[in-house]
Amino acid sequence: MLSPVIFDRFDMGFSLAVHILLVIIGMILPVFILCAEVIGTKMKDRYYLTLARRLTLAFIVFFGVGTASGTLVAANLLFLWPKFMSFVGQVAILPVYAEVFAFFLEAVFIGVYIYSADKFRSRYAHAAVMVLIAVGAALSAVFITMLNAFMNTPTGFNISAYLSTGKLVGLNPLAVFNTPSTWVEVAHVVATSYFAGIFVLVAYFAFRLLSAGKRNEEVRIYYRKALSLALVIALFATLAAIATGLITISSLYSIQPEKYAALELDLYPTTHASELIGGFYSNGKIVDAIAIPNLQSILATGSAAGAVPGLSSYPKDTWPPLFVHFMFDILVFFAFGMGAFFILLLILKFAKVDLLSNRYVMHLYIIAAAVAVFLLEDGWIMSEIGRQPWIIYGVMTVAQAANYSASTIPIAIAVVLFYAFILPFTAFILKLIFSNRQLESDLGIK
Amino acid sequence: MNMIYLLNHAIFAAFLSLIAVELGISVLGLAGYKDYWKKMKPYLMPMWEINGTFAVFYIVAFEAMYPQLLTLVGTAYIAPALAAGLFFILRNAFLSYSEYIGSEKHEKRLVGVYGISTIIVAVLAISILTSAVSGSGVNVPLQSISIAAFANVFNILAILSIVLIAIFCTKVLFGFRGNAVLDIGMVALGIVAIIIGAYAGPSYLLFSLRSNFDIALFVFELLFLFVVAVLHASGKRLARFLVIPWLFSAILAFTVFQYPYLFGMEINMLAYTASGAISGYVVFITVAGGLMLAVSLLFLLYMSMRKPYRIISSNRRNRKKA
Repeated sequence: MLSPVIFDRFDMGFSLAVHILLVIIGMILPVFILCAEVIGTKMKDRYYLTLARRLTLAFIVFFGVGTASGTLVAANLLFLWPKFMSFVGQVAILPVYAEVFAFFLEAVFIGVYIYSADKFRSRYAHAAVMVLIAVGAALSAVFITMLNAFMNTPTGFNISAYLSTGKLVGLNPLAVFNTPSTWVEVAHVVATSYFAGIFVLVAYFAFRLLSAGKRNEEVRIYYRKALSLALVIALFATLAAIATGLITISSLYSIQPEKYAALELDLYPTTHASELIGGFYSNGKIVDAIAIPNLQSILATGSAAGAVPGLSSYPKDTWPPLFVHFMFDILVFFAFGMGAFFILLLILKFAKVDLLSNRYVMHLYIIAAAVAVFLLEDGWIMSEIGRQPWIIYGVMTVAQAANYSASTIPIAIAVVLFYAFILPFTAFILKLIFSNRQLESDLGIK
Repeated sequence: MNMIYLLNHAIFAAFLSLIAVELGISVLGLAGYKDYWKKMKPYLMPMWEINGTFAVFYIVAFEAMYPQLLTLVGTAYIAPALAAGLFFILRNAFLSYSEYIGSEKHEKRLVGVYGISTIIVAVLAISILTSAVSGSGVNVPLQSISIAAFANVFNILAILSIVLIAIFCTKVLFGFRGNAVLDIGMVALGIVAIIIGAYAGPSYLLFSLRSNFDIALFVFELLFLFVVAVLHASGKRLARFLVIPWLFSAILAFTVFQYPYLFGMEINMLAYTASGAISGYVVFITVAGGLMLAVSLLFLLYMSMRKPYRIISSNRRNRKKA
């Protein structure tokens, strides 16, 4: 008989993986709509204004489904991991609680933006409401990431006293806002969420351009403008994601050394550490890895003589599953791929290839978007598995936190079936909404 | 009364009031799409997300204010709570789908799914609530529930009562005065149902009111309802402004009668309340966040009552011409 903990893990992981997809769209759409509305107003450009209006419809649907899936994740945290939430409630609940108000900020001002759109004298004032929505969405991500950072690097209580007596003493409830990993993690999560979200929009506009065929030229102009705006934001988001990613990995070795050692497959603490590409742990050794001498020490510490941690410093039963190294390799490979993608775009631009209409480039955008979303999910899964077996590092294991009720099994199955229905159905409804509101009529062509 | 308890239950009363109105909207919307839905839609559309956010607000406030009760509550109620979560997503999704679908035929179907999902969420939420209040079917030491948690007289009558009261409040709020006597009969039946339910179940709620204040509060709530009902029957607009404050205060009054127990007096909530430094910060965030929320909601109300700008500017032009 399978343990209910496996279903708890599966239910939580699956719900989060789906929720993350909805969140990235919910975070990027306000920013994109804001840019489109401001540019459209400033340049009196009806394409951008139409873009802002039409994407607002999609935003409402994604917000509706996304916030509800977020509520399910909040409920999952409580009901699948009651002992964890009980602990968090006593030590680190403040960012989660503050997140509710960021959520309110978003919900209330969406109402203002959409249902009072014709009541603003200035279009810039109307656009300013979207700033509040974007801030609310970003703050939600910031606050919830603070809890995740606490799980990685717990602080704000006397850990050794807790481990020896089970009592919480020396509480500092504000420490959760500033754990050793908080700001690095927050920066990387926000940057990568925008990065993956904007690539979803890039893929959508590229797909629409590919399928626009012989539709009116104005429709093509509309999608070209949308794609060009999305690409500009994508460039900035990619740079931010790469920069914060580098900071994250280089800070990991000092603040989460066990996770770092697992990601890099370092068995022993050492200096002049080689960067291992591929490889497996077998019989106490690493086999089949390609080693680049000194590179890991240089990347982590800035010096070939820099020391990096090793798994041998920790009890073997607390090592994370070592396939995280494989996930890390894939992540780095595709991250380089995204860099290469922009260099290729630059070369094509110099070669005078039209980046907003060439069919091969459109396909490239769609592939890049799939990679971007994969990178985000891979990064999250790698980070979470890299902390195993702990739910709060060094304090509480996943097994200690879990709900052992047998009810978790049918619930996990129901959640999968439910999302398997709701996500395609949402896509279908969006298609129906936009087919009932022809772009041509929104642009004033028909 | 304990400050944390009061704050937590005020959030709960606000959440339940908003959800009760949505329950009423759902039932009436299913009963009459043309007669009811179209008139209620303009209210619901800017509000449904805020109503939903109150659900999260209450969950997280409970986590922050009663962390040591989470193991019991989380373990015992996992099945009904997560089932409610799934229907909650359906509620959000289908309402947002319906908004811009364009075709009335499609909209009616989508609103139908929204209505049924909302009713299921409400029934599950009421069942969890009544079980937590009465303790029926709850095994506190084993942190588990049995079917008796829901299949009991108190729960069934509480569901009936809340549905009837929700329909009454919604009809008053939107000024639907088809048959005011029927409306008053409905709410009276709702009150009788909850009194009988409490008598059959957690009798400590209403039948052993512990102080003169509790008795005065009970009488006040009945009188307040009587005033709202009379105003509604006589077609006064004031009833529309008073009905939600009554609902909020009535729910809050019940939590005062319940104070400080949970699970049929088996658990004294004061023993589980957040204490120390964190409780101060929780109160601070609740008050500061509550103020921000109040200001935001006032702005939403102000904007929704404002005339469209084109009308304002054409009125100004007309005044200048005159």
